[in-house]
Amino acid sequence: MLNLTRQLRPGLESRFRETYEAHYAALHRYVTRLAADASLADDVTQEMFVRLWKEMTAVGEPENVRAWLYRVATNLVIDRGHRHRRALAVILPSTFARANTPSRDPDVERDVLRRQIVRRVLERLPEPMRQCLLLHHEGLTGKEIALVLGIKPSYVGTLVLRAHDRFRRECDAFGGPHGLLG
Amino acid sequence: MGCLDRETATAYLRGDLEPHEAEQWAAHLAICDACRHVVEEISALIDAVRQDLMRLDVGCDSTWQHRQRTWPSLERMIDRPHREPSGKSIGEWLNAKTISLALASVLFLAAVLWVRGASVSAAEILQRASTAERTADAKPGDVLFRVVTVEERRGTARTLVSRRRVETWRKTGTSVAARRAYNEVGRLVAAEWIDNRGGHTVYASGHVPASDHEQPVPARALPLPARALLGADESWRLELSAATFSSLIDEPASARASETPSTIRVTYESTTDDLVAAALTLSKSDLRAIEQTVQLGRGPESRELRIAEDRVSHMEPDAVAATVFKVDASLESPELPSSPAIAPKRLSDSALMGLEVEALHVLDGAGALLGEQVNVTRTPAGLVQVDATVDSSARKEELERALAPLSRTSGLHIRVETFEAAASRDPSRDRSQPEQLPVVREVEVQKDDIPVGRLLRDYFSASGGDSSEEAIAERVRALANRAVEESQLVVQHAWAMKSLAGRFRPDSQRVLDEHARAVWQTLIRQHAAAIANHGSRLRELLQPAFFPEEAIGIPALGASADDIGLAAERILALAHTQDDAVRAALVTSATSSAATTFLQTQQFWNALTELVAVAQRTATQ
Repeated sequence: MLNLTRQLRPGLESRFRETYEAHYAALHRYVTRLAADASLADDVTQEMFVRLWKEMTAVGEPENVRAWLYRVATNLVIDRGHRHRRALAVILPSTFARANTPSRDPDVERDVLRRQIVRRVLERLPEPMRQCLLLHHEGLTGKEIALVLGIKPSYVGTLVLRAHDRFRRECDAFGGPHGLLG
Repeated sequence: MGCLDRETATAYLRGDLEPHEAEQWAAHLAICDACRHVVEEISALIDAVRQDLMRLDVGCDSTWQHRQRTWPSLERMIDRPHREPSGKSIGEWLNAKTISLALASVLFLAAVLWVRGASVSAAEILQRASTAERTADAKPGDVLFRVVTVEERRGTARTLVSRRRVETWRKTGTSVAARRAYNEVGRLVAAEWIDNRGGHTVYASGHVPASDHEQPVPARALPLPARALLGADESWRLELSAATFSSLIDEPASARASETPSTIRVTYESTTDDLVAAALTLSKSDLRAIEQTVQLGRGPESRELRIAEDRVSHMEPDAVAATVFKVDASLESPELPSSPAIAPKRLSDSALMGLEVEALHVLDGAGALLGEQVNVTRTPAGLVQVDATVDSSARKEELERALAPLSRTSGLHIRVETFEAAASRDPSRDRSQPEQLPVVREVEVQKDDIPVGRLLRDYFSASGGDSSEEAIAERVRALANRAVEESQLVVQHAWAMKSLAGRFRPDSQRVLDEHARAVWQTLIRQHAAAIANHGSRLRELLQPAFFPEEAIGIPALGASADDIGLAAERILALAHTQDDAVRAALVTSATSSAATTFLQTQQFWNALTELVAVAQRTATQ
């Protein structure tokens, strides 16, 4: 079995390389957003492709390779337990600026603060809402999102909408146009 | 046709609707202002969220660099999929054995196709897969190496409680096999050897503590039926196979089969049995079992075991070191010779530091920076010297195995020895200095014997659940054990982080090449992440009983201009503070009778919180 795949390998190798080139950047971005940890993202993205190669040599290329990769990525991030469930700590702009930003430029301050808020709100979205939100913004089709998350394709639209609604609501409540950043 | 609801409008915008449906809505939108308004509102919402998410990508421009770095290692993997029997040419592969294997594959494939064509029962599939396993196993003269991951989850939230990597070596055609289980940091925690008469030797299974001064003692053990291996202590011995799966389920006849393009999945459910569900995934190409899950019990007490194949390879017996089938040396034999030094070629400073980082990386991967006495130094003669003193010969072998790929590198000198050997050579080292030895502590908590025992018992009796004395004692014991374990992991990672962070001074950091610096920083950040992780778990464990008024959340610290070395020192100091407190309160002690322990004070909670916050910041900076 192994030997047969060896002879098929030149074709497999170029397919593998193409897949790597086509999906690496998007997957890395997805994992970084999901895991909130750039070093974990490097690690997970690499491991994903190691698994893909094993899959390709052992059983063949997955039917929908993009959905397969995102599913593996999602599971790896969850399994590694690197997601720290952080409570929504209140960050006051003034202390934040004093303690952390060398620049006193209000625009820079606001940007940094806004990023912190986005990160925390995203972390607070329940699964699989968070994954669904991120997968939508990676441009996955409804069928692909359904495959990755193991939900019905007909439910994807609803979940995408609820994720956006909730994300917006929490951002607004915490630091949106009418909150800290108003 | 009525008006669009927001859900359908989202599906419409996403392009998820069937073409005819989308056309109908497009026509409707042309005439309905209200619906157009709904679509515009959702479109604006999605756009705004997209803008927000893009904020998270700031600072992620290393993606491209990482991609460039990642490819070479993947390429190496493609060239050498199975490390051991590398470098065979196509010609070598096309020998008689290969051809017979290929024929066997065709037969398997035919069987699979036949299975599909005739849609046979799950029981039949299991039987065929078991037959295929027996056939493959009976073929003499091959060595099979298989790596699986065994995970155990508990409760309705399916919390991961343990993960083991299990490596199995098997001589096909005989009963000879060796199985070794490694924990998450790559340490050997349990092993089993089967000799040619089927006799089993098992050591250090599950929670039996190997105390620091005692060598683990091998015990003769009987082969157990698969059901008996479902306990937490034995699950690493479960075979990933159709035969095992069949023996686990009561009625193979009630199993069901389904298929994907590449796999066949057999599922089983029972309403009467303790084993409530099980699933086996077989690779379609050869009916090999590649994943198995078993669910035991329901609700909060339920356990789920998952065994998944990571890797399998067939090897020529000659390519395999005979020692893999032997009881690990610590159990019976004296020292093996250390790797010989190799005449060095003088390396540049940057190359030397790169080598140093490489060695640290390998040692860290083997869990050797967590508490073991490992020194990696650059010598004036232009060498990188790795000196490790470990507590058993088994561990020594493990480290040597991990360092093997580097051992032929010019400029690197590796010496790994056991503590006994080091102590016998150097009279100045005294075994009684415990700080030089990592000590595996197992806390024994009896009824009245930990300083905060009474408080915890009161807490648990008030918190509901089984209020019998034994049940409460068990909960106290479990909490104390877990807290001490987490605390100790924090200290170990803090030491590892400190030793890594202090390794290169700012001026020598500039000499590091980009790759080496990235590896070095990643190693540090990984330890910081582990500290944050274990520290958070510790807080979650202690908060309900000791600090019910305190919030469990960690205040986020902003970026700091501080040197990473300062952060590492602060973390180490805090780690020791909290570990002292945890042990003073939760470890059995004959002397302690203090009314209040430091663990119960606000200072303790603040120190632990700061520890986690600083570690989190370092991990993400």
